[in-house]
Amino acid sequence: MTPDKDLQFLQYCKNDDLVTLCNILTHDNKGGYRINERLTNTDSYIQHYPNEMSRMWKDVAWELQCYGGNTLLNVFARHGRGSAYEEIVNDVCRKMNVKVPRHADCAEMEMMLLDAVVGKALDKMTEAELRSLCDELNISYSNNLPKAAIVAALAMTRRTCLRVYYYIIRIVFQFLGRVLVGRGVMMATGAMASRAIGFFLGPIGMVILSGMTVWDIAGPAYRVTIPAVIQVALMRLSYKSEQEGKEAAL
Amino acid sequence: MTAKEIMHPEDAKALQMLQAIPFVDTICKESLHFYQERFFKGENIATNIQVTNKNMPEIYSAFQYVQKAVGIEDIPLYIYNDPLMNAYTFGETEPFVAISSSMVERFDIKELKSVLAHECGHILCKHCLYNSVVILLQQFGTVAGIVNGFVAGPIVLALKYWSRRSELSADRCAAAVVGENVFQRAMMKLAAGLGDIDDDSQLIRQGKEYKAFVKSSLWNTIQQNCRIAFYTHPQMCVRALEIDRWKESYTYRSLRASVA
Repeated sequence: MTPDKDLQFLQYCKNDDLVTLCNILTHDNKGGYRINERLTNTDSYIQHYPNEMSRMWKDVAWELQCYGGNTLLNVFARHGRGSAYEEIVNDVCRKMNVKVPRHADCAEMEMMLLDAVVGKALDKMTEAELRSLCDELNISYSNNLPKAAIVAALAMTRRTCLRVYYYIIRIVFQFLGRVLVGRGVMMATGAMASRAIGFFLGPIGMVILSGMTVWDIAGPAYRVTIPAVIQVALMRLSYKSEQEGKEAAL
Repeated sequence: MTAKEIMHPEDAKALQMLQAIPFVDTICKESLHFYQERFFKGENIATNIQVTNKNMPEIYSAFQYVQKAVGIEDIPLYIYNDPLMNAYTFGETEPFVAISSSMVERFDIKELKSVLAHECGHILCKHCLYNSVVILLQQFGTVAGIVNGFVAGPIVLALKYWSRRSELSADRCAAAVVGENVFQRAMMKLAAGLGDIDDDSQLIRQGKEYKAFVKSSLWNTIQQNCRIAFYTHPQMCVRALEIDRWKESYTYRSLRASVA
């Protein structure tokens, strides 16, 4: 695999978290195998899944990097290796309309992505869901409490205590599924609209369109990289909060 | 034992792709129900010998053991007269297993269990449903000449690709029931066509050698892939090697523990 400093921490992550990441890479939402995945037929997967995941973290990272890269580039320019993880996070942020500073590092981009996703999740939550979330967080809920206030409170928690922030994020992520599905539909609709425009531009448009389609098909698999990057972000948060806890204990 | 536990990921993927083809399920089911199941049932009763607790009780009890281990029941077993060592299963609503007489002669009871468990693996994974189309297309195409080979070619190739993958799942079932050593011995006997062999792991070594040979150049990869494109089964050494890899898995160990 491409040595990637941003994914080295995976070796210290919890087994269950690695299983989740691995499942995102190998299985679709319906529980079926992803046709393009190559992980499940590797020796390390056969030997270590699902009990010794830390021993196959390199393969998991390699698979994620391959999904994040353009297949044509992976084969011809990168000698079978995928993109750098930082590039993948940047792509995902762009796709999710999360604005990140130009020189932000991987962890910063992931945090911004998490904030944005949580914000979207809160927007999509019903009154009852918000109420139950506030109950979980021991916040007294009132109808006048704006969602923006909850998001702001979350951002504040992130600065003050990572462990609490991680706890809150995990609860909010129970509601994440719908947000991601909605996002996927929007992306697909946008892609279809641009193809239709290309078609009506005549033969030249169609040539460009076919080139674009091949490039897009070979391009990063956002249906995989978006949930995978969010999972990696959560894992990094968990890892950092644990480190923070250990340092505090010392 | 569940199909998910023993299913090879490549088999599961190929099956997903196959199921995505419109009407393939309906065609397979109707084809099985109206044609092949009845055809084979008639042939089995008329030509082959059914294994019962009075007739060949040792094989009968071995088959009962295998069915219990796999978690299926009431499958009839037939023996047919053939000098070629082979076995097959067929049917969706009324599946059966048939093994050739030469296999009964040359395999000991543990190795026979391996073959029977392989066939039960096909039943557990519901492979017969799609296998029926492979047979139907072959009969309509090459025998009757109804379907043009050029038209049916891509479908046949896709189905044969899946068929090769499905064998790997069935092999996993066999290994889970009898253990990897017995499975490898049965594979060796099947490959050599002999009743006695000395070294169980020769095929595994050949499998590693073959894998290295195929990967050694692009031309070798293309040539070997073209060679197996029309096979319904993977090469023996590939099957042996796949089980040798799978024996290291958590699933295999837990299945072995539950069977033992």
